Amino acid sequence: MNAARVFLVVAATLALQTTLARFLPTGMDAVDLVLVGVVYIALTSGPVTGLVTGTCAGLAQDALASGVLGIGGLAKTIVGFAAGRVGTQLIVTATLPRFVVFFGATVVHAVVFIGLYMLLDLRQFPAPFVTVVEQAAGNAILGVLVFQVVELLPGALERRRAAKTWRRR
Amino acid sequence: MTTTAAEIIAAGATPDFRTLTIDKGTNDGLRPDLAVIAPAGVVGRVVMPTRRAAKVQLLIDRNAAAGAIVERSRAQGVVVGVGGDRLRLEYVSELADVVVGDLVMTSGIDGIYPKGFAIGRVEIVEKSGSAYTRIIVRPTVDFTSLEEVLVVLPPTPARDRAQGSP
Repeated sequence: MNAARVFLVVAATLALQTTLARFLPTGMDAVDLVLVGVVYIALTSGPVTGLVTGTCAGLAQDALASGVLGIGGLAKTIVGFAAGRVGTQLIVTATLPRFVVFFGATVVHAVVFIGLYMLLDLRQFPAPFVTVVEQAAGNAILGVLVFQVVELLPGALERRRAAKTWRRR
Repeated sequence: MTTTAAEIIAAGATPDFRTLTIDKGTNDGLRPDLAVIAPAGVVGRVVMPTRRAAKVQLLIDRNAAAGAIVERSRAQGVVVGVGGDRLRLEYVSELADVVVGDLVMTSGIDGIYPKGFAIGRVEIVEKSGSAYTRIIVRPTVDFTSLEEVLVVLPPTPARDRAQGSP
């Protein structure tokens, strides 16, 4: 069940990232939907599932991007595990803690990703701070929204079904 | 100049690299470092061609750059991407004349982009004394709504003969 969920989230976020992300408005186009998916899985399923999701998603993203295979994978593995640990050690069911987790996860991901690229002298990232903060804010808003929708959807469907049954009576 | 039209089939898989994927590859004569253009101006260059598709590095990518010339004053410099939706014009002489609204075009000195294609318009010019500290260029191409592009193919002897070149 977990494996199917991981595969589904990785495939869906990658598909959305490569098709819809470029149509997002300026400022929001830096959002990393795959990272949001990894953190979501990590928070809902724990550190081990988060780690596996991060590895799979990161490697898939690396393979599709023009970067070095493994750097994104490593960054997302660390983020998946750390977010999973945070999810099991702390209560992150309210909006603000979730926002902080998504924001922090994006910053950690950027530090590892950009740090490794710069350390290995593979690519330059001149003054990445503004972009990272924008991306972190965008990811955090999107992550919180995803949680709200996923949590509200079953209740909304249930209410709709109940209303239909009541009208028939 | 010979070009081949290509359709954009995917965006970049990660926001850290500003790339697009087009539906033409080495089977259609594409190879790395070919210029990719649109009616509005320069889009980027081919970086990873496969047989049936190719990855295009956009000019707004952090590691992209192009030789540039200001149309009005002929001031030369290098336009570099910053990862966002704007470009920076660098290595401009302090004697050069650059003002807001100037059209920046490719100079052709990089050997990738042909001379005379629009890159963008100067949006911000900041000076410290006589030296330019920051020149921001707004690209003429809207990278979020691109659907088709043209890839500038390398000249071949057969093509040159067909076009009547010596």
